[in-house]
Amino acid sequence: MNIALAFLFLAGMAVGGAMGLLVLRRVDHCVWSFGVVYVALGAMYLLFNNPLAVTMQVIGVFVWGSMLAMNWGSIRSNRLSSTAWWALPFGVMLTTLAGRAVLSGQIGTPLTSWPVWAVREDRMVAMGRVLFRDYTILIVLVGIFLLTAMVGVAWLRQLERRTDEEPKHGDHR
Amino acid sequence: MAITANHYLFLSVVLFFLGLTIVAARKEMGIKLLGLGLMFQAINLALVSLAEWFQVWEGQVAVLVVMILSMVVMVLEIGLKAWSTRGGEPK
Repeated sequence: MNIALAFLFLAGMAVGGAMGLLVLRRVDHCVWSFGVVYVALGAMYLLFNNPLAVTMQVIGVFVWGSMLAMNWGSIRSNRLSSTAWWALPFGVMLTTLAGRAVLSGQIGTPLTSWPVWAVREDRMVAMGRVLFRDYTILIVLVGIFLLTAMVGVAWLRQLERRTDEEPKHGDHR
Repeated sequence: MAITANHYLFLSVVLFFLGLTIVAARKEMGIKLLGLGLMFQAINLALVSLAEWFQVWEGQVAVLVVMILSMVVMVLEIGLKAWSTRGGEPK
């Protein structure tokens, strides 16, 4: 594979996706465009065997999947809960990958055995060791993640409740 | 043509300023957040390239922190989107 060509292609995708954020009018189109940036950068990290490549690509797919689920769910039933169910597999996938990335520093999970996402294991191990060497970083990361998840869920539930209580359009008396 | 760290750094600068322009130019809060996310990704690209260049793994851990922050931005964005599709104010 020609690395220079691959770089140019992926850089074009990333800049194109970013330009989409500038010129596209609808917010959901912009989010799809943002997903392109994530996937392009993730693939770019894969060019130099970077352990973060997988996470970046999964986040990109997560953005796309969430948007797809959001649109599909709101069209079908106009309920946020259906969206949450559809987004769940992506969340599980992301958490599993992140967990493996961290744990590989301790138990040396053979990531190279993954056929599609073959990232050099020694790099995963090196990154895991840095994470585990300084537990503060790990605790802060997990803390931010849990806090965000809790606040996010609480906020979305509140929004859902508030929207349910509001009268629908054209229902003014 | 060999791709060096300079190419990656140049790309990250371009992405960063595109993100900055988006935050400054667009009026919609959702897209401003996406612009912010783009700036985070530009920082990540610079950190990963430099970590690769110097073979230092601490840079990668910093990327994880930035990635979690950008996840926060993404959760906000998806929440705003959910709200707007259900008749909320933000577009």
